Amino acid sequence: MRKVKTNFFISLDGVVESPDKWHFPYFNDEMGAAIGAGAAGVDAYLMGRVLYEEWAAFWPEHADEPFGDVLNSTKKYVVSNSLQAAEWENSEIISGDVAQKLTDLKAQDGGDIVMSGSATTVRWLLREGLVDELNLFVHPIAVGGGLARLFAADEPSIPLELLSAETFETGVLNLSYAPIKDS
Amino acid sequence: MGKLVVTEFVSVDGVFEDPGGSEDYEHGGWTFEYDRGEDGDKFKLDELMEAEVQLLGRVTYEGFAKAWPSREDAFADKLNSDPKYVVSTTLTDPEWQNTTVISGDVAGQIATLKERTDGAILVAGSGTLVGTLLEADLVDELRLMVFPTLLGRGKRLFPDGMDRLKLKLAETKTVGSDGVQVQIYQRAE
Repeated sequence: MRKVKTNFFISLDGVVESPDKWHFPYFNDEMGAAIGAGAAGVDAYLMGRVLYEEWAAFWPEHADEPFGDVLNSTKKYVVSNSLQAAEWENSEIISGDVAQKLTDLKAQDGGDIVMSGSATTVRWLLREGLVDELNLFVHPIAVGGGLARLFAADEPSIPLELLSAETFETGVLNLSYAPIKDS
Repeated sequence: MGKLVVTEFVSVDGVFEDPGGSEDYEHGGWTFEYDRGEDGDKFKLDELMEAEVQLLGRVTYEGFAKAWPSREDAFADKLNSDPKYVVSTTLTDPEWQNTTVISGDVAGQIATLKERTDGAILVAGSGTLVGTLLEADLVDELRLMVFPTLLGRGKRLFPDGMDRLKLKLAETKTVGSDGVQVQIYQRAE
């Protein structure tokens, strides 16, 4: 069974948008190591259309930057009913009955299917019960400023299990939760 | 100079509404489903014992004023006897002992309260008031007891569109057997 793991840099007030505007001062070796450890089990990335288009425009030209090679070569799934073609190397569109297709994907043997961002898609996956791990790097800052939050105002209630908690010197908390599925 | 401490029960998605179940909220009393353990209980008792005064918004005040006067434990005794300040434009005749109403220039009066108080001014619940305090940068310490759940609907602790607020993590620990977390943040210098 493959697991869908979602990773976010998130502020104390729940903002995940534009981490480039607030997250960099908190990046340190500990965070790098945690991200690296997570990356080790990955054999596919999953994302929504917005992130896909952003990354597909950037990474092929920046293969020599730290995550470049990995991102370009690793299998990428993009969830979209509007995207016509996936031109980025090793990428595939999942459309139509996305829930079923992802369920089938998870039933395969293999490594983790990881999402870095794509809040809209993650909210949808949470509602569908398809998220296995919600990994949050909680930064000690309330960002405000109208930037978008991960959790929207009107969603179903989902109990969680705290899998692990780690504290970095920067005051960032690395928290891992598993949604508890209906039995 | 008093230290204004805001203490809240929150869900992972940032909802802090009606954890005690005294209001009309659909998930009211949601914290009772979790075991916060002896260390969680001690954390709440210690912070109350260390407080010099209580500062509350009207809705929380009214809920507390109904529940606490009839109880007789250490927590209740402290809460009942402590000086209490309630922020309200409508409350004129507070029934709970030792209560002063603050209305009008809230930020100004609370700044004065901080100057007049030596110890901790504890703010529990009090959603609307806490939004005002955060936006006026009057909060010195923010304590969150984070419960492992996404409530999905309900009032969120941090107002939308507030100014950036940098904090410093002072302490964090997991309490009880259900993965409840205590996170203490202080003003960053």
